[in-house]
Amino acid sequence: MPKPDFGFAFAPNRALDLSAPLLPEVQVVLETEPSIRACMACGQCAAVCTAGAFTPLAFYRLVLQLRGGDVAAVGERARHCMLCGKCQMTCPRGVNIRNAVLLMAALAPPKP
Amino acid sequence: MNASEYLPKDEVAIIGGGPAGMQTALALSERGFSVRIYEQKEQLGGHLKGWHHLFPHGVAASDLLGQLKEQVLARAVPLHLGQSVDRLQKVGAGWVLWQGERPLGRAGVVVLANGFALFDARRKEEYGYGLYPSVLTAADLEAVFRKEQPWPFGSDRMAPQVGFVHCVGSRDLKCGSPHCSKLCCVTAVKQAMAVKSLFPEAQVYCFYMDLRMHGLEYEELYRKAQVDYGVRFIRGRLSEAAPGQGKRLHVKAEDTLQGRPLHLQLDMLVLMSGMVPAFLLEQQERAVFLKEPVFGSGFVPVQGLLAAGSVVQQEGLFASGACKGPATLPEVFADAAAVAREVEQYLKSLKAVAHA
Amino acid sequence: MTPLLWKDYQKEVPDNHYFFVRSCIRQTFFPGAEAALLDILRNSLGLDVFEDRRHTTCTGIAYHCDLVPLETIMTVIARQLSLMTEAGYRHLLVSCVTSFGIYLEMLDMWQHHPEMLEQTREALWKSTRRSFELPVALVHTSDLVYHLRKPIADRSPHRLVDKSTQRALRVVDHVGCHYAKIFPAGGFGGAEFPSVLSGLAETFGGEMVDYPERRHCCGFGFRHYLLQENRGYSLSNSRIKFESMEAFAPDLILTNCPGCNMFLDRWQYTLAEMSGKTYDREGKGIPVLSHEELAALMLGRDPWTLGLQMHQVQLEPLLDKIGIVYQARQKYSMLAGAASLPGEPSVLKVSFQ
Repeated sequence: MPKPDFGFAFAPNRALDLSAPLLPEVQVVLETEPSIRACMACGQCAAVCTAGAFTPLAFYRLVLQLRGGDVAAVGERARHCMLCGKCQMTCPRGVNIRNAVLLMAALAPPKP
Repeated sequence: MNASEYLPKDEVAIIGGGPAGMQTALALSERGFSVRIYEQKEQLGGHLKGWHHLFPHGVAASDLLGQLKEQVLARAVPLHLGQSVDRLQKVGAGWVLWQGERPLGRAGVVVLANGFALFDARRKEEYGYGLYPSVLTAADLEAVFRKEQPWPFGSDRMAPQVGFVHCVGSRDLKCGSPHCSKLCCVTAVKQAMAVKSLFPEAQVYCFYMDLRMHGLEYEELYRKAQVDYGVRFIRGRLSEAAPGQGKRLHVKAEDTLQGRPLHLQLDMLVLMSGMVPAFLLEQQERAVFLKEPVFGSGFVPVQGLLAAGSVVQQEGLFASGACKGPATLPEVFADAAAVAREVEQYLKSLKAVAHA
Repeated sequence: MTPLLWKDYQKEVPDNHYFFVRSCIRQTFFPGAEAALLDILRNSLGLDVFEDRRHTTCTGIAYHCDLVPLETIMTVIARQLSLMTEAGYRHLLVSCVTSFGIYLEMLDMWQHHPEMLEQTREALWKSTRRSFELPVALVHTSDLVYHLRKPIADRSPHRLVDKSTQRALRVVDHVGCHYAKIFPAGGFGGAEFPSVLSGLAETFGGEMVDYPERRHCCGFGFRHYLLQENRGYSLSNSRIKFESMEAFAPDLILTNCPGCNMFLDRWQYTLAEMSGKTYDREGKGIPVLSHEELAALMLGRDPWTLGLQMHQVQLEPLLDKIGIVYQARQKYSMLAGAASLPGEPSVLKVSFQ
């Protein structure tokens, strides 16, 4: 019997599964730059961000997405960073954002 | 009994033998007043008896309690243990304390220091407390630390997954508790760090709405939990707990910073049950009743602007400590000193009137 | 403080004298179910249950889709109540969970807004010259079956146990959202700990399985289902439930809402077609029964008279486990004569003997 065409399809569940172990590449980032742990998602980094005015770059969100395992999106977004350093200057918790962003950007596959 | 018969102006009865009661008794005793403590349990200590160690420095709770008791004993404060005052009758300018139909004693001044109750976590039904053995309250977890009850997961679990839920029965209008219990945030951080110390491989999550690190060194503790202990803080209130696979729990929440629902399996879920009134103060003419709280009952109302201890509408009745609302131990101790000063002024004013 | 705990919550259910209103979906898709319920109540238990053929749809689905305005549904509900009043009954027995929620909602609105009740009385009088009394008890049929679970179990020749191994059958329940999520006081156990189905399954000897997505909506929705393009939304929700219950290997899904019964049954086939996946181990799907279908089977009613051949997921594996004897050849012998066998899908196996 041919497969019926229902005219609709199911959507994947968009809930994050926190029980899934951290991806090895995520672990490497967190261990190489342990100051990332200090982020409290206050958003000051994003408020001063040069790139954030034009692109979806917001460092505190990258931290959240990194832990959520969304490696491709993190890598892609981190590449918008212009390395101006304003975020690092302003971060109240002293996160080494420059290094963190470089590590994150390396997660995206290299452009041809 | 009539007014002329009895007016022991200098005798102060303190209802409650927890930290607030003991510290108030000490402060008054040091000022030369005759005080006695009425405690409904057979032992002094109140909620402090159940704690293992205290934030922010990790002092053993038994050490502090021991010191307090020692001082109370050293000053030979009379103790009426196992006596639960449920009614105060005004006689002349003083009070008679009653338990049911039995008069327990008399005093010129009564200080309510009978603290708070813990929110009954079963009322947040979606978290399954009392239904799933791996759901604990913060008080239960202290009992686990004190080795009075076992861990809810097997000893083979070296890397347990543990979640803490902040604001259980606090900031919750539907539970009749609009207030912030204010010490649950730092308690969760303290307990999360303790779990990580005992199980370094554990993954520990705190589900918070906002972190209220109001006290001295609390914020530092929060940062330490993140950086040194790897505790993960997720902004979002847990929506429900259900049985997961094996003996684990399946919990759901929203990561509000990411705008994504999330779920995970836990070996232990700790509910930060808030502080709620232990009794309802019902005031009548020349009598005060200590009754069972009802939905939406408030704490003891006091008059004045700051740190006041004088109970609204009652001459010679004061309140000290957490019966007036959530308070930390340092706040309770500071309050006890302030209340003692107010009691002293009140008694002096009575004397001044008598001499005039 | 005495805590209010829904899990301890018990609902008052009258023992007898009911005015019964049917469900559009139930009588269309599971045509034997309501007949079986009436048969049990009247003939097995000797209750007085009255039905008036003039009663209509409650228009609940159309109301939830914004197709029927509030004033209209109130008047329709008032007319059903006028039939109950005319017949001399004050206990309303409702087959459908959507309708049950609608009755609760209208009664609640009338309680809080007496002027709306007066407007409704006037609208009904002007349009039909009818008047009505409010019901004294509003009971869903699953409430009544739960209330009568012991007399039913006492008369039952079967148990929810695998006859060959004596293993209690694993049951997952799905209580319709409008049974108690909107008005928790209207149902047994409230919204968080609904006991109306779990208590029934346990009385018959089954093992209740609490699974993470137990309280998740089956995906029926209302407007979300009516348009074909939107049905993926409904399907996705059912899928979340199946994914969650799969690990617990349930023998049976038990429902009390006709819509849930329909979607938890039919979507298993649709998902199997779309993804090739079934949620049992043998590729046959997880059987779905409603409370009255389960009660009728336990009481030894014939599965085919009960209309179980109308289910998408075939019931024979469950019947075999319980040890219910059935005539395989009679499955498609309808009242009007033998029906031709339905098409056999390549997924979600069926057995034609």
